[in-house]
Amino acid sequence: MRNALLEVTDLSRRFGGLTAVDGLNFHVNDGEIVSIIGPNGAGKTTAFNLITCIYPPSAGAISFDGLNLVGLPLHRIAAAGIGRTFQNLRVFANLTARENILVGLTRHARASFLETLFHGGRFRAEEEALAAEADRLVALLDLTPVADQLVRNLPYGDQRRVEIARALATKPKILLLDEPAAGMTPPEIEELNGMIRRLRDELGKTVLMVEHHMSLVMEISDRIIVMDQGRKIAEGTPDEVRSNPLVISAYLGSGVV
Amino acid sequence: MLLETRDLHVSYGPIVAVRGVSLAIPQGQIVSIVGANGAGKSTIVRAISGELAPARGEIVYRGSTLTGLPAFQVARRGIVQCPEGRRVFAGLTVMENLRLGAYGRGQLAQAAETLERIFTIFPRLKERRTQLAGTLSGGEQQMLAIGRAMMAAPEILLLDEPSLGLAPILVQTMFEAIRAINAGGTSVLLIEQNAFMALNIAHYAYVLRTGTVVAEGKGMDLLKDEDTIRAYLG
Amino acid sequence: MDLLLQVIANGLTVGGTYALGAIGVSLVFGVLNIINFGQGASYTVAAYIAMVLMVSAGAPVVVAFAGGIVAAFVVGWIVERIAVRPLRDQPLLMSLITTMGLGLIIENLAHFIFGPQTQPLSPTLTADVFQLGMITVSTWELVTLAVVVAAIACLHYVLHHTDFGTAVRAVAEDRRAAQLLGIDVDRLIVVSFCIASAMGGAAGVLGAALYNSIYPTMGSLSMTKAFAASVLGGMEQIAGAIVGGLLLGIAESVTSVYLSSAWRDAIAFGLLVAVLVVKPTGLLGRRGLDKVERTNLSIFPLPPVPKLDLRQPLLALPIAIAIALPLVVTDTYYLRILTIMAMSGTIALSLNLIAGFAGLVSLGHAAFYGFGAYATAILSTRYGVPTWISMGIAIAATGVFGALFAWPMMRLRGHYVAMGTFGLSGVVWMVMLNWVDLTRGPMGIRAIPAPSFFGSELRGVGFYYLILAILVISTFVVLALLNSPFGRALRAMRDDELGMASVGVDPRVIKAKVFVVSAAIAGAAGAFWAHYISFISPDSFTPVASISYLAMVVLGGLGSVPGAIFGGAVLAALPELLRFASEYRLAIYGLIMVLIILFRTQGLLGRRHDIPSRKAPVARRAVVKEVG
Repeated sequence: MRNALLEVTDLSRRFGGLTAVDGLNFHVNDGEIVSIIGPNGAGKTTAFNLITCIYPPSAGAISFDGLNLVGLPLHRIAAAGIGRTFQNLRVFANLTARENILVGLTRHARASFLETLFHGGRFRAEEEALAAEADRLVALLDLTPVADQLVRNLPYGDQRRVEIARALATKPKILLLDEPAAGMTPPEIEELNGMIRRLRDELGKTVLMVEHHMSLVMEISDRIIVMDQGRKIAEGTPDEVRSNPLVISAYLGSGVV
Repeated sequence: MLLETRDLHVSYGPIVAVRGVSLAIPQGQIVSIVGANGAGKSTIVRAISGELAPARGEIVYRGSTLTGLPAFQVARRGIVQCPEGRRVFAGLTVMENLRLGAYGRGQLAQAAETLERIFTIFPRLKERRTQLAGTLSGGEQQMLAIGRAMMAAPEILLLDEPSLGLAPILVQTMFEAIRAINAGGTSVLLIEQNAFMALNIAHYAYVLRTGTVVAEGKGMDLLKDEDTIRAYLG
Repeated sequence: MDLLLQVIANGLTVGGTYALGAIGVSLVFGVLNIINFGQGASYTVAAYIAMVLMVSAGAPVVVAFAGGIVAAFVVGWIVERIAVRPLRDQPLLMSLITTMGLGLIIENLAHFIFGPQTQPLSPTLTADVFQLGMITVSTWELVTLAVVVAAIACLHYVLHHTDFGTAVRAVAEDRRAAQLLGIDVDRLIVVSFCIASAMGGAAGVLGAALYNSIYPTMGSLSMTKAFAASVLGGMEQIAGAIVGGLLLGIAESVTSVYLSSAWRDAIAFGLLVAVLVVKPTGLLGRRGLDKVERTNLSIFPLPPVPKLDLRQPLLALPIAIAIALPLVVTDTYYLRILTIMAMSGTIALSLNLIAGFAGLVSLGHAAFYGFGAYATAILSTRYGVPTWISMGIAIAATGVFGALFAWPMMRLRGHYVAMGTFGLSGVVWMVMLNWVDLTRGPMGIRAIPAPSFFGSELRGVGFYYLILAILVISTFVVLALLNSPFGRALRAMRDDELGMASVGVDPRVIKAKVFVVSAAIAGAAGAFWAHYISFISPDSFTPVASISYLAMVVLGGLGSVPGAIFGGAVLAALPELLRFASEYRLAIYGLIMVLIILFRTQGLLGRRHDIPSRKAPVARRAVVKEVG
């Protein structure tokens, strides 16, 4: 078995009286595609937010690539090698698709304040390098025709891909995708499927995603983690999960009238 | 027909959330809309309530159109929405929350009677009536949200995800309560991700996927339909 | 001991009036989530109406006071309908400026009708003095306390024991849930607004009676105290507003007796800043800052950023015209207006970085501008530093000051940034006013030398070219930064701070840098001003001046580089060009601000946003914030 890239241990988070994540344990291996599924309110997005330090856990540990993530400020997460997208899309709506990606590349910029002010040689060379890298990502996510349009004017599916491209720009080891297919049309989901595979197979990215579109999840995942009410209720390959009675009841309703 | 949507289209800016949905809610029935997250269920409810303007299509209530009415006017006509996530007024007591339901629609005269009914359905609320709503458990808050909407004496109750985040045992209670409310003569439009329960309770149901109706029928028939279940579960 | 008791008793009375005003601020903030900068007008109107009723109509005191409070109620209705409701779905900045503009108009009308002088509320108003144990109190102090207690009791009763009040509290918590129950949210909001305004009116008449004096700008000062008291207590807490008001009153009273009466007015600003730094949610604030909405500026698309390339006509043409202008405009008076226009353009350009790009509602820009002016003035007059060098030092020092200024703002969002910068600006103003040894206080600094250029002192045209050079260089700096990774991050931050942090860019670093650059540019304009005008006094650097700079940016178009310069230049020229209407000058100025925001919310050169206005058929529909 390969080494775990991301390891979550006994993770809990309470909001007031509500325990959103309750003693969650799981790991993601290098090069895997892992999906978290579960009904609404099961704590999937909360788990993502805990891993990316949007808020601190009430208890538990998160380690990534040997680094303890608990207590890190949000902006350090990207430097640690974690890229993420958001359920409700947090793209920069008033920037173009290309500019969104360029912002993702900001942390690789090295020119000093004075070089920036005078647009000196090093600054210009760097801008060219960043632009080239942005072009590469634009092409990779099939955004070429819309690269110079404001993101606010793009269809939902394109906005989702801009957000993924932006996350990729930080050169992450792992990509956390929060409902990447939400709001996409079936053909777009089909493309997304191919794209996520390419990210793993060609770029060597590890992928952890929360998703509701079962066909996508079942097709693409190496492993699936099923959550309900903040806990992990099942884990396994798509086939194992599909036939697990607990999972069926969590999705179809656990009570029988 | 009590309430109908005809070829309803709703967009959020460039994003089309609901495309061409026509549903009908007959007097005295429970109608469910089921579908995955982001399928457009809540959008339909918000459009009926007058919170969102349809890009196209019509919402017809007792033969006259609701399109263009502000949300509070829609509520005053008897179409009361109990929104997703409960949204009780946390800083107000349980009684204040309930009374507001009657105040908004000007139903204060009948309030005492309605209140008794609600306390019969949700005895927990009676026990906690002087408590601040924010201190209630999730399940109790959901009861309060439904009770508050009932205080407005609705013709149609629009319930958006009433089982969201509730423990299984409470989900059961909640659906029994919905049945009881319906038995009292209130029509119900129920939005649910918990498809099994929602189909079980519904007289009629619609399955929604990416903003369009992909299946409809009697709740029990849909439940027995293997294909629908599989399409829905993946 | 006796003295302390007496001081506290006096503080409680004054504090009572602050509490009334603060309740008004908190009520509006709680229900509407906006800050009403027109509240000062309620004080002024109430006091003047009471005066007219008493002096001209011979009405009894009680009737006159009631009349004043009713007038304030009506002012509230006017402000809500004109300046608030049409902008409810707009960024908070907009209603901030329209309420302020409307307040300015009303204040100016009072000035026009009743004259600028301080006058007694009524010449026959007398006050008996009682001895209560160890302390002495006047009739008016007792009346004030009684009215304050009664008003608070009434409000408490209405809010907590009537269905109407319950509905108001419900609307404050969750407008959406309230309207879904059939509650007419718009009506409740306007009534709450009127009640808040009447509270301000009560504070106005009581304050006027306590000192038996009224003057047109009395509202602005009282409003500042009310803001401070409200923030002190926790912004949306009525109980907090009361505690905050009383504490502020006592603190002022204690300061003026035991420390110095000069620093009395500084207490409000000082406490405001201190509480935001130490406990941003206020003394009684329970909720976290998460609930505070973001400055939803991102509904406005940013205009394209001009490239840094002198060959583009957009850049080259205005520069060429500006250089050539003195050939045509030879009249000293008009040259002076041009100089002031260029200076205001520079200041607006710098503020645009903070307000337009970083999306922070800064009401503190006069502090930077004033800091630069005072720094160079003190260095050159007192220490004989050569003017060019002192200007350079002033610019650098203002940049450093900008970083210090930014630090307490890092944790704050939305309205709290507005309040914090407003308070900081007030502190700086108070230091200018009261640190007499350094700044010569209200007398100001005179005889600031003009810089010399190749041996001869700069005059008219020379100064014009100097400020033009500052403006052009500043524009280049701003464009260079905007066309860089820093500039992209800055624009991205306005859209989504969390999204930006998620790609590894620390928003705090971006904010700090933007404050440094912005402050340094404003400091340069201030330093220029000191040498140009050769006399500076604290009057030019009040927090109210800060708001007018913000108005320049908004009017020009938030986030538009040419827009900001244009807005600054136009609004600076306006008072000069309106000199013929001297009496109405400020009213017209306010009116223009209000009209532009109501009818061209994106500003003169800004880009239109695509959220339907409330006049469209979809008028009352929820603005789409999140899908799902």
